[in-house]
Amino acid sequence: MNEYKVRVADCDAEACGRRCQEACPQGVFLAVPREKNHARHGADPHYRIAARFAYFCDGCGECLSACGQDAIRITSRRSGESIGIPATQA
Amino acid sequence: MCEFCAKHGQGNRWYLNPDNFSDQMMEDPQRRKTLEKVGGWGIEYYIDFTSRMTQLVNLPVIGKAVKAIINRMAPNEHGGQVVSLEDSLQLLEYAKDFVLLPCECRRIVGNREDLVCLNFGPVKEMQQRLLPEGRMEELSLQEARQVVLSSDERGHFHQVLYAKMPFPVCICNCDARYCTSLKQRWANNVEAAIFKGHEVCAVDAELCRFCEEPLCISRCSFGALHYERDAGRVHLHAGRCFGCGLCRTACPRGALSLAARDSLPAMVGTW
Repeated sequence: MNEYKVRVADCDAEACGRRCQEACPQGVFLAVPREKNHARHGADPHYRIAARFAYFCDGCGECLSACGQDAIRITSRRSGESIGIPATQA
Repeated sequence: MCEFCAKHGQGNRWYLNPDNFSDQMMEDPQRRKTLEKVGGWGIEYYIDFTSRMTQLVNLPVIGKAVKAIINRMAPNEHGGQVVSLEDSLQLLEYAKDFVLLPCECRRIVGNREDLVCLNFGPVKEMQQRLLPEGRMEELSLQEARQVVLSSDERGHFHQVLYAKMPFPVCICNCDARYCTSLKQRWANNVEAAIFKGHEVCAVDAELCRFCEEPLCISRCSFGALHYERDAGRVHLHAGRCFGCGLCRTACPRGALSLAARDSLPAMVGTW
């Protein structure tokens, strides 16, 4: 646990359908509402993706192949190396 | 007995005290304020807010103080405790106005719209007022019981959520992949994010024998069970067990049971 740093650029989460969330077996990504109080005001939620639970990332790389916007970067805390798309999906 | 049972249980567990389900609980202005805040902000905003707050416990110097503040404040806001199937079914007897809502954790962590969040009490009125177009299914007591039983079969552990202790408003049925409360507890070691249940799993070493692929392990969301291949049986890490009891129902030999947390000296006071 807590072996990887996960960075997510300011992607268009609505456009891709939040595929990284569906792909991640550890539930690392959180869809964060861009506007507060949207429920109270009845507005449509607009989300951005945050790697809020990066602590649980096991470096499987499933999210990298799911993300069509190349917005995710995973780095090993030990070696500093970036994780690439799994060979089976490259 | 946990501190909440001592204060609010009247000799029973806090969520099994019928007085705590009373309409009079809503006369507490702070409780009303908490419910309006959580419902009004939107649950997903509230989860975002709390998950940012719990991360602060990892800051150097002030982290310990932040953790103490969160653990002290959370029971006056919104949180939960793991409960067994038996306790879940029993507490439903004291509740009313059951509604099934999509699980917000599943929605904002997994992009799923699963109707697994069993709410009761004031939630129905709040949902109709604040999110009239949101998905909601009204349920009878019998249907509510069936939701809990089905969730148990699927391997979803139960958590009773409160809106300012000791007012239960929901039985959440989820697993470790999506539960943001559990993630906050594990990643940041904040106990108040989700309290452990009143029981701990117990393994009968005589009955537990040589399962090829023990189902109990796959049903444990907390990583509390491990297979000892040489001994041919399952080993329990009691410190990790939250006492949900899902492992019991998977064991074909009846080797697993739940014991009161207070009955195990090493587990006393570990909530």
